Amino acid sequence: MTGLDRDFIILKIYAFVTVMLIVIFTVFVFYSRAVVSNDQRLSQEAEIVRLLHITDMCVATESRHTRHIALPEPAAAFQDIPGFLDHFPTSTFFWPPPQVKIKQSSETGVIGNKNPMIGNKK
Amino acid sequence: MRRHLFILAFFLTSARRHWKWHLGVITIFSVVVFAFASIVFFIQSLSYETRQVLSSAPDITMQKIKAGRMVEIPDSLVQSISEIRGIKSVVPRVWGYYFDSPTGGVFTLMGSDSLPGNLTLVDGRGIQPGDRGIAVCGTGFLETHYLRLQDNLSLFDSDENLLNFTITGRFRSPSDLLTRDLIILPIEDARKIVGLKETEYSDLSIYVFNDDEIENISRKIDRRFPSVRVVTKAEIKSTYEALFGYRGGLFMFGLLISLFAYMILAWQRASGISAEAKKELGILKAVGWEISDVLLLKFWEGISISLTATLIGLIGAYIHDFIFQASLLKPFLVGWSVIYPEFNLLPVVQIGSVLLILVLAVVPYIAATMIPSWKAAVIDPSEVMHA
Repeated sequence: MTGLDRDFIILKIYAFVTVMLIVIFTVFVFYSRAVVSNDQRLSQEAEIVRLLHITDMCVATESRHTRHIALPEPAAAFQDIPGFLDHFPTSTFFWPPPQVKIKQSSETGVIGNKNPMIGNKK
Repeated sequence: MRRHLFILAFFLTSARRHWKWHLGVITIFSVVVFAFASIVFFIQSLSYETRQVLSSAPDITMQKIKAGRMVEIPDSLVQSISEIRGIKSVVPRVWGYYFDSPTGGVFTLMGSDSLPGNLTLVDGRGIQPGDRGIAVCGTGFLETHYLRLQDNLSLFDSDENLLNFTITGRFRSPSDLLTRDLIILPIEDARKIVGLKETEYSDLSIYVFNDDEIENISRKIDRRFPSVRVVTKAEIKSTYEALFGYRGGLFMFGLLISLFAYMILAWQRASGISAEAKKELGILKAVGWEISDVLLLKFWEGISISLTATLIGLIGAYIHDFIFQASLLKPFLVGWSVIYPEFNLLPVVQIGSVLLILVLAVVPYIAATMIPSWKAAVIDPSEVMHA
């Protein structure tokens, strides 16, 4: 066996491994699509939301403002005990809902909502 | 084409001689791609499920705020809201948090008289109008208390009286992302636990006839009634988009960690190549290779290493997220929780995200491989070999 033949055997092995990796990932992608399109869970969950009028997903349960992120209590961080600063790890990732952020109106030049503690005064 | 094959074969033979080094690079690279792709698949799945499920959320949710705190909504306000033109129905909600002292967990307690038991995600029977003393629980409460269907459940009401309920239904675990910490009681029972009078509600869910009117009606409610907070369905969706989107907290966190790791890897490559590698390039040039051949060699080196590592990372991320249910990412969202959130993630893989990961992983690596090699390849071969 010449050196060139040996080089091409390695090339063939590498090509085989790469093609196998591509095939495995492609199978995963197509399998995912089949699972998602045939899944009845989402429609059932949507039905529970409709029946119970739920507004939030149970992504994190450690604090009220990350459990119900769409409806946070205006003064939640200080409601339990004095000096009760927000120390919850999930608060690192959970940003405040856009509707309670103070924003500058380009039309009126007024900074902030009428009362950001209350929420969405338009 | 033949030239490319020969050069790739040459690189692979050369890589076999330095297999430990190449294996190390592919391993680190795969771990970086795995971490990033895991976060991307994780939030994509959560985001997809959230978007689909919350499409049934109330059009408008209204709360009453007094001195910066949420307070009860009186019955009279429900009547006034119902009279606004364009509103289809106003459904008062009775809900609150229930601190469970034996476990230290805080559960979400809701009142409902219309939870049919024929839902596939509910085992046992649901709650019908007129039912009293029964409960439907999420898996969080049942697991932390080692309870099963037909067991008794004791809850303290707002006056510290102990009330007993029979667990007649439970939410099945596939719906955990929605129902994990829920305790559903008949409305009158929930009212006692939460401490509301007969004419009071926690907040209102408002449904309108025409979706295009949601904004107008919410603005009308906001202006007409003092001290209310109005949250529309679009705002709920945008809240979750802010959490799960490409500029969201979870994504940014994953991106930053991966970016730092990747920068270290790329910096190591770009900070210069070793004397041995320079010598190898010098020899190649001395035996007749041109600069373009050397660059082609480095191009195929970059492609083969980065493509292999990216594919391994992507497959690893898929297995981690959708077979092992993101067991490494879950702790980020657990925090100090007593009720651990459970995710039965739907395998959502978007082609756009896969392409994004491929581009982010492959292109910078090829650049980091080729630039120092180009610098070394333009040096005179005799100078390199004598060094």
